[in-house]
Amino acid sequence: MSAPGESGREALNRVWAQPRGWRYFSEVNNTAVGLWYLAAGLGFFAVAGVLALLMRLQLAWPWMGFLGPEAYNQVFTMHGTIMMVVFAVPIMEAVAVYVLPQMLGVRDLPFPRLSSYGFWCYLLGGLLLLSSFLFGPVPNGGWFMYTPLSGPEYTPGLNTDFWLLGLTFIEISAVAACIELIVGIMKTRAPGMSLDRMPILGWAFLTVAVMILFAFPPLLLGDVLLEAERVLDWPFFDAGRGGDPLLWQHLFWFFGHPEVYIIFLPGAAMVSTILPTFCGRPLVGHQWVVVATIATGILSFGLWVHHMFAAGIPLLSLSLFSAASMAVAIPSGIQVFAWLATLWGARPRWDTPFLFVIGFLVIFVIGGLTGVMVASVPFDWQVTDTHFVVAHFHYVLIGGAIFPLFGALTYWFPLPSGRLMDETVGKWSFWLMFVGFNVTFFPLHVLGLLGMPRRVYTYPGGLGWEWLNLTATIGAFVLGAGVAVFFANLAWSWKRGRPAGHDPWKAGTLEWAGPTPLTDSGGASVPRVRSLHPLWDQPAEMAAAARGEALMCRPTTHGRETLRVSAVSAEPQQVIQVSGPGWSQVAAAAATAVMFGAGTFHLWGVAAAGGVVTLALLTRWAWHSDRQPPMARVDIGQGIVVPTYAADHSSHAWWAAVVAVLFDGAAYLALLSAYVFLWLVNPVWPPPPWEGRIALGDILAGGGMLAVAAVLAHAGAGLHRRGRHWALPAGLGGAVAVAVAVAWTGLSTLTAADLGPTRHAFPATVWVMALYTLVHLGVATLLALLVLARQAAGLVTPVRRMTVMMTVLAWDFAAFTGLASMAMLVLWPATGGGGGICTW
Amino acid sequence: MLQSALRTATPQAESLAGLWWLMLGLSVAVFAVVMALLAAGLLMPRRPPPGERVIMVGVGVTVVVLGGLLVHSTLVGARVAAGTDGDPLRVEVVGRQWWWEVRYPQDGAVLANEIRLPAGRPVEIALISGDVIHSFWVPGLAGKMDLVPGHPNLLRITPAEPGVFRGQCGEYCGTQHALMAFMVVVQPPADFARWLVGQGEPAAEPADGLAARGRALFLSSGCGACHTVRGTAADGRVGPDLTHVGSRLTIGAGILPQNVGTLGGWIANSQAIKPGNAMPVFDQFSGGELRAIATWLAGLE
Amino acid sequence: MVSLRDATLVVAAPGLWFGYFLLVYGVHALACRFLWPSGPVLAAVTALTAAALAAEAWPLRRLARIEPAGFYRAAGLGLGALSLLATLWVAATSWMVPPCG
Repeated sequence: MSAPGESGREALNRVWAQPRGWRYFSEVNNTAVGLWYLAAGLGFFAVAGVLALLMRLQLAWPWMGFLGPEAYNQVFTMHGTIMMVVFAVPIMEAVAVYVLPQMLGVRDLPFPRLSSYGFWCYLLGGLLLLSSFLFGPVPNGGWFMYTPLSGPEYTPGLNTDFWLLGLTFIEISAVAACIELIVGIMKTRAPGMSLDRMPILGWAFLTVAVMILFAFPPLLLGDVLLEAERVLDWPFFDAGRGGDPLLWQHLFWFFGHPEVYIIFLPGAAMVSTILPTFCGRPLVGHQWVVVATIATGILSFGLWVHHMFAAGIPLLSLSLFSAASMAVAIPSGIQVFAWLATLWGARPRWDTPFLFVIGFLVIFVIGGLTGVMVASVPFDWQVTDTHFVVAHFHYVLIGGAIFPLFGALTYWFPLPSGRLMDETVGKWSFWLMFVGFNVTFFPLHVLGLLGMPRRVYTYPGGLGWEWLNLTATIGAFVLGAGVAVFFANLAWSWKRGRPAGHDPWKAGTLEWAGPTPLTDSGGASVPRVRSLHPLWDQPAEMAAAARGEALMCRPTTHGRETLRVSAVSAEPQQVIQVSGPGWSQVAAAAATAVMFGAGTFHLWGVAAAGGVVTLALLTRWAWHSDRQPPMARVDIGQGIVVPTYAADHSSHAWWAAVVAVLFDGAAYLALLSAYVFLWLVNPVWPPPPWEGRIALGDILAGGGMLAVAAVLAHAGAGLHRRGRHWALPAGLGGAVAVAVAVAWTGLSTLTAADLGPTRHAFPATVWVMALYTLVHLGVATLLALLVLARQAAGLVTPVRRMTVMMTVLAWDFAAFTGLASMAMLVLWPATGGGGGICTW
Repeated sequence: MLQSALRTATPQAESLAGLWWLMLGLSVAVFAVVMALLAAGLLMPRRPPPGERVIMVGVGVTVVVLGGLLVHSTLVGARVAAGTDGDPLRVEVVGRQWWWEVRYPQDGAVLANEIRLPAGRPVEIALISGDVIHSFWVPGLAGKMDLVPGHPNLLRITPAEPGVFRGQCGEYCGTQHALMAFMVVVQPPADFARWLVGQGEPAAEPADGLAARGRALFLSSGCGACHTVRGTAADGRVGPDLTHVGSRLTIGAGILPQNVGTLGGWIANSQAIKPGNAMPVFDQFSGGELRAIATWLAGLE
Repeated sequence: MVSLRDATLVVAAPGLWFGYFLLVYGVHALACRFLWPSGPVLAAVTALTAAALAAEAWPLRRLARIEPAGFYRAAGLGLGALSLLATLWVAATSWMVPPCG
C-alpha cells in the first residue's frame, strides 16, 4: 500500500529497493542477478584461463615434465568444458539478464525468480564440476566426451559422472535463460518498440535463445543416455551390443556447433551496439544485420557433422555439411560489410570499447577465413584435431566473443557502478591482449600444418615444432597479463573510477536514458519509443521520461511491475506484477545441488531426498505464482488503461509454458532421432530376440487410455472455464486416475515382456521411451493435483486459470509424445524388413 | 618435417596441399582487402556513410568466391576419396590404447607401429578400432580417417616414391594419446616384396649365447603372456607382435629409436617413458639380463 | 499493423531450408541403407523447396502496404534469398559426389 503523500517515484523506489546486507542475495531483480552472473562467469573464466596457461607451459618445449599425461588430459578437458559451458554461454546470458531489460525500456525480465533460480543452479553446477579437483576424479574425456572412451569400460571412475551431472545441472540455467529471453524480448518491451525498432542486441539474444531451445535438448538427452550406460549398463553407445559411438557424436555436435554461434552472435551484436555509438551514426544496413543474425542462427544447425568429417561418414553426406558450412560464412560477411560501411569516414572516438571492437574485426576476419578453410571436407581431413583447428576456433571465439565482451564490459561498466573504467589502463589491457593473442594463436596454424595434433600432453623434438610452441607459450602469458590488467581495472574503477554522469558515450539506446548508476527501479518512467535510437531521435521525450513524466511512473498494483506488450508492434497489453526478493529460489537451487551432487557420487538415497525437497520447494513457489492483483485494470499514464491479469494465449505465462514445452519437445525429437539412427546402423531392428514380445492389443489399449486422459483434462478445463466449478476436479481427477492405470499396465507389460535393457540398445531405447512417457504423466499428475489444491484454496477460478491452461498443455504433451512413441514402436520396425516388437 | 602435411608423397596428400595453397592465397587477398577498407574507413576525413548497396556488392563477391571454392573443394574431395585405379595392396591397421597393430592379411605378416608400402602401387588401409576411437593420420600421405568401434573404415592412398613418414593418432584416445605414433616407410617395390616375405616368416634363431639367454629369459619371465614371437611359445595378443621387432625403426609406438639400449630401458621401466601404458615395470632384471633380452629382441630382424 | 503471423512468415525461409537439409540428409542415409536410387527424390525435393522459397516472396509483398518502412518485407526477402542460395549449394554438392562412397 502506498503511504499517504508518497510520490510516484518514492513508491517506485520503495517497491524496487534492493535488500541490504546478506539479504541482498534474496534479490531477484535483473540488475542484481545479472551482476552476480557476470561476476561468477568472469571467475570461471579466470580459472579456465589459468588452466590454459598450465597447458601452454607443459607444451613450451618437447618432453616437458611439468604436467603428466593424466593431469594434462584433465586440464584440457576442464579448460574446454569451463570455457564453453560454464563461462561463454552463461556470461552471454548474464549480459542479457543485466542489460537487455534496460535496453528494451522495461524494469525487469518477466520471470525474475526464474532467472535467479537459473543463476544459483549455474553457480552451484559450476562449483560441482570444479569440485572434482578436490575429490580427484577430474573429468578427462575431453569437452566433447567421446564414447566409448568416456563410457564405463574405459573411464570406470567418477570423472565422466562429474562432467555429465555438472553439465546437466548447469543446463537448468540455460533453460531458464531461454524462457526468460524469448518471453522477455517478445513480450516485455517499451511501448512502441515494434520489432523493426528493436536494437540488434535484442535480435541476437532472441536468436540465441531460440537456438538454445533446440540445441541444448540433444545434449541433455546424450547426458542422460551416457549416464544410463555408465550406471545401468544400458548400451546406447556400445557397438558390440547394438549401440553406436557415433550416436553420441551426433547428439553432442548437434548441440556443440550451434553452441559456437550461441557465443558468437551476442559478441557480434555487442559490436553492432558499440560501433555505431562511437561512430555517432546508426548502423548501416540495420535490417541486413538482423537478417544475418537470424540466418546464422538457423544455418548453424546444418553444420554439426563438420566435426565428424574424418569419422568415415559417406562423402555425399559430408558435402551437404560442407555446403552449409560455407553458406554460413555469407551472413557473417554481411555483418562485416555493415560494420565497415558504418565506420567509413566516421572519424570515431578511440576509447577502449572501440579498440576492442577494432581488435575484434581484425581477429575475427582471420578466424572466419580459416573457418571457410575447415569447411572444405578434404582440407579438414588434414587439419581436424590439430593445432590448426585450435588456432581457428580461438580466433573465432576469443576474437568473436571475448574481445567484444571486454569492450562491452567497459562500455556498460557505468550502468552498475556510475563510473568509467580507467582509459589508460584499459588501453594497456587491450594492447597486451591483442598482441598476446596473436603471438599465442597465430603460430598454432603452422603447427597444425606441420602435423601437431591437439590434446597431446607432450611431443618429441625434431619435428619442427619447438620454436613455434615456445612462441605460443610466451604469447599466452602476455595474453594472460592483459586479462589480469583488465580485471584489475574493473576492480579499481568500481569505486575509484571517474564518475560517468548521464549517457557518457552519447549512445542512442534506452539503457542510457537515465542517470548512472542505474536506480533500483530501472528508471522513473517508461517512455514511448518511436525510433531505433530514441536517445538520438527523441531527446525531449526521453528527458521527460527520465523525470518520471511518461508511463508507469508509479506502482499501480502496489508491487514490482513491468509492462507486457504485443509481440510485434509493442502495444501495451497488461501490467505484470513480478516477484520481489525471497529465498525460495535459493533454497530450491540448494536442494537441486544436493540431488546432482549426491547423484554424482551415486548416493541414490540422498539424491532422491534432494529431488523430493526440490519438488516440494518448486511446488511452494508455484503456489505463490499466477498472481491476480485486486484491481482489474489500471491507468499507466497518458490515458492508457490496461488489465492486470490475463489468462489467454497472448499472456507471457502462456508463452513461457509453450517455450518450456518446445524445449521438452526438442528433447523428445532427439530421442526419436536416436531411435531412428540406431535402427539405421543395426542390420536387423528389432533384433530377433525382441520380435513379437508385446501384444499389439496392449499397446493400443495404452494409447487409447492416454488419449482419454488428455480428453478428460480438456473437457474438465473447458467446462470449468464456463463456470462449472465441479468439472475441474472431475476432469483432472479422471485424467489422473487414467494416468495411474496407464502407468500400472505399461510397467507391468514391459516387465512381463522381460526386454533386458542391458542386452542390447534396442530394449534400452524402448525403456527410455517408456520412462519418458511415465515421467511426463507424473509431471502432468503433479500439476493436476496442484491445480485442484489451488482451486480448493480459491486460487483458481474461471478467470484466474493460467495454471489450468498449463496443466492441460502438460496432459496434451504427455499424451501426444506417448502416442508418438507407441506408433514408432509399432510401425517403424515393420519397414526395416524384420518383424516388429508386436505380435499382430 | 617428418610429419608435415605440406611434404607430400601421394597424389592424395598432394591434392590436399594444393587446396591449402589455393585457400591461403585467397584468404591473404581477402584479408588484405578487408584490412585496407578498414584502415581507409578509419583514417579518411569525415564523410557521410555509404548506402546499403555496398553491403550487397560485398556479399555478391563473397558468394561468387565461396561458391567457386565449394565446387572445387567438393570435386577434390571426391577425387581424393576415390583413390587411384590398379590392384591395391590391402593392409589392416588396428588401433589400440596406445599403439598400432599392422597386418598384411595376404602374407600373414603382423607387426606394430610401422607400416611399409611399395612405391607406385595403390594401397587400401582397413582401419579397425580395438577399443576406443582413434584416428589414423600420416600427414605426408593422406588426411585423417577415424577408427570407430563398429565402423571399419577404408583409406585409399597411392604412395608415389620412397621415403619415411611419421604418423600419429589424431583423435584423443586417453592417457597416452600423445605418444601413439608410428612410422610409414615407402620402399621400392622389390625391397618391399623382400621385406614382406621376411615379415611373414617365424623369428630367427638366436645368433649367439647372449641372445639365446635373452630368449630363455623372455620366455621364462612371462613376456609371452602379452607378446607373440612366432616360432616360440610366446603367443600373447595383448601387446605388439615382436617376431621381427629388430627390423623396426622405433619402439614404444614411434617414440624411441629401436636399438639394444632403448629396448633394455623400455623393458626395465616403460612407465617412466610412457606413463599409463599397459606394460608392467620389469625392474627385477639385472643389467646383464636386460642386455640379454634386448640383444635377442634387437636381433629379430 | 504487422501481426505475429506476418512476422513468422518473415523468418519462415531459413526454417524451410533446415527442413530441406534434414530431408536430403535423411533420404540419402536411407537410400544408402536400402540401395534406393536417391537422385530423382533429391531433385524433386530440391525443386519443391526452391519453389516454396520463391513463392514466399508473394505474401511478403502485402507487408509493403501495411508497413511503409519496409523492414519486415526486406528481412523476409533477405532471409528468403539466403535460404535459396543455401538450398542450391546443398543441392549442387549432392550432385557432384557419388552417393554412398
